[in-house]
Amino acid sequence: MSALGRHIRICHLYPELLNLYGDRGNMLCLVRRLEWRGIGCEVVGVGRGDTLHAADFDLIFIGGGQDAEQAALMEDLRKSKADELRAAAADGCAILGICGGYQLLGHSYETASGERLEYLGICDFTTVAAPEHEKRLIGNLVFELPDGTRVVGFENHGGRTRLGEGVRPLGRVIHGFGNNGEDGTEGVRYRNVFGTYAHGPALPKNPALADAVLGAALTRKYGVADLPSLDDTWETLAHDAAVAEALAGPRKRDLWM
Amino acid sequence: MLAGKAAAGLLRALGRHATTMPGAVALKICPSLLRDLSGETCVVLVTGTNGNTTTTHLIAGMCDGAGHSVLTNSGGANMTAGLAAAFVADCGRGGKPRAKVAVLECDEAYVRTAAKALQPRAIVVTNLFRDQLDRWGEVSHIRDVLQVGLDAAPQAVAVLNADDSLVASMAESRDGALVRLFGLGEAFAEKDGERAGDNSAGTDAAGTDAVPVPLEGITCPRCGSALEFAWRTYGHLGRFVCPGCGFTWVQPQVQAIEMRGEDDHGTAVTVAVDGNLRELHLALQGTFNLYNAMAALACAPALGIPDDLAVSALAGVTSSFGRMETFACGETPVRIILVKNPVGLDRALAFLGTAAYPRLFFGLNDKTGDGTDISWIWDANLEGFFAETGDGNGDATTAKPQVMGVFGTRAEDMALRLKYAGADMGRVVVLEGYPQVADAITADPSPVCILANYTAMYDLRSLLGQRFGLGDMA
Repeated sequence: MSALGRHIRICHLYPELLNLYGDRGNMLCLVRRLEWRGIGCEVVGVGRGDTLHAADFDLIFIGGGQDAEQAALMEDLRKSKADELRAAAADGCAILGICGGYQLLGHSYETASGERLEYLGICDFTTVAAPEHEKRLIGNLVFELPDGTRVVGFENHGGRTRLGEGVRPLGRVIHGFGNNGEDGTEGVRYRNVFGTYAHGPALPKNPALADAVLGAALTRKYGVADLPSLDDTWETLAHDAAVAEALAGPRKRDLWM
Repeated sequence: MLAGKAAAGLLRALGRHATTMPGAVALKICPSLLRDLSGETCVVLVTGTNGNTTTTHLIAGMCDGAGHSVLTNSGGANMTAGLAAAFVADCGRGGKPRAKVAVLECDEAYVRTAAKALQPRAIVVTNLFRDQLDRWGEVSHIRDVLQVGLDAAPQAVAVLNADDSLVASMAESRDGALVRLFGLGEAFAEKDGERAGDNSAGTDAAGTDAVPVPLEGITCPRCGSALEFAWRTYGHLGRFVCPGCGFTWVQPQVQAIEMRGEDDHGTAVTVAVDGNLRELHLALQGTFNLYNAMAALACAPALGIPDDLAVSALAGVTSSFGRMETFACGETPVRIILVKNPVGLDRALAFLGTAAYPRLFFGLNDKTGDGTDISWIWDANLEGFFAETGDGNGDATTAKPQVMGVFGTRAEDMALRLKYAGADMGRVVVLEGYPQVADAITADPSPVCILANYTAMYDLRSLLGQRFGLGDMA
């Protein structure tokens, strides 16, 4: 199938609030990798106060936010977006959630003071904030997708996520903490929904993951992903260097002269 | 005290950069050292995200020009041990610092400790932007930490950035006589949609215009509503008002109101100081440096310096190492700009948009002193920079860089960032170490601008200093 005439509409949810840690790079990556293949694309920011018409979109991106900003948008989310997001997920729309955006895809978030916030419930998992005395999970993160591809990023989260029975993680942790630092799972994979704690940003130096998300959106719309291969020399260089550095640890890093 | 001096001497003899270790030794031996020293010295603490070193340098230079003996921690050693080291270095045999004024850059996390021990005459908060989020979690948290720091010095004058809603909000709990605000006027506002940082999350067609640049402080620090702006200078700095709770920008006592001129040598501006107009000549460029200079001027009364004297003293202050510093490596003119967060990088790119450098070097480390999360490079608008530069055709105003070198522990990440920003990757070269960077710089006499984060800047600057006899770094 020719790439000509294909067109993807991307929703950037709460671009003004959920854009921590280079999330902008994820959007840039999605846009560029479509452009480079001659596939049309359009990005629409849907912010606080805007009504989301999820059926208009092929891909929805939800980034991470600072705690204060995330709390500020909960009411807006429930009022004008939550039902649409649930319907979109059920309809097979590609959704990518990073860190705080990933947590939103689950049932709930329990704060350190024990308050339970109801989230979207698109995927079967819950997140619990770490007790005060326990540390945030911060550092380089390397995990492996089911096909053996390694993904490298940077994680920084207080919440511990537990997947429900039989729920597929996005990958298995090789280095770092992942969902909770205990069970070796990282992220979630359900229908065309992708969730991960990996910032970094995750997509530019993990082109396989970026293309998996784009492929899901294209397959749903056109029946087939048909992604022409790109020259990923610089992507691979950055990926391999980041994996090597993550596995080598800070001592080697501090010796760079 | 003697032990601290001895350690400093030993470290100097060993050739290490003695900025914090002697302080750490002195503090270990005498934990109340900072407090003991504060008795007779008039202290100014400078903190915030960007421009602290330059602001510290400007205030120290202003004091010096006004005839006050001054000590400072200009090496950028800004944690408690670094502050102690600055005092230790200035002490005579009697164990008392010789300087009348101490101007100290202070890491945000140590402001409370330092403020409590030193009871400073003034505390300057420059601005709050996202920086080292792996360390801080979020910017609003830093604001709260600094508020506690200010509260620990109830007699200090709080010198605050009026245009930064997060910083300005710290004035609320303080007696008005102990608050001094500085800022820039509307003449320095960016035109609508002019460049990076304009956060109109619109429904543009495909392309990077639709990928907004993250901003801090667009939500009200008091009630969380989205702030509205009459104008902005850059980032989230500007004349804000909260439609939710009414929290609003206040006219600062010290404000640059008109640009008179800017060239390679510096900037001339008209400043309103408590209603009096003054002509300021500054040997620095860039909007961000005007903020730094306004902060210094706002400090002057707390130090007993009349504003006309402060204005003339500031004219004699030049840039500090690695902060827009210029020098020559052999035949090659070099400029180094420290960039460590998205707004800093955007400001540096805005400068490069006016000064076309044929060769750019980007240094990116994720060593302990830098913060280990380097994702911030994606939050700066490098796309805008490459879209606005060209090879002489089209409507680009500035020449594209011919060579781009990347170096540091995360050089490959920086290279990839350049690719997605639209750089011509045939011009990008990955350099494997500082000696290779130095070789690449001098391989050609065409001017070089180096943008690097903290340890990358520091280590490269040290090597260049040794190789080209540039003298010691501060």
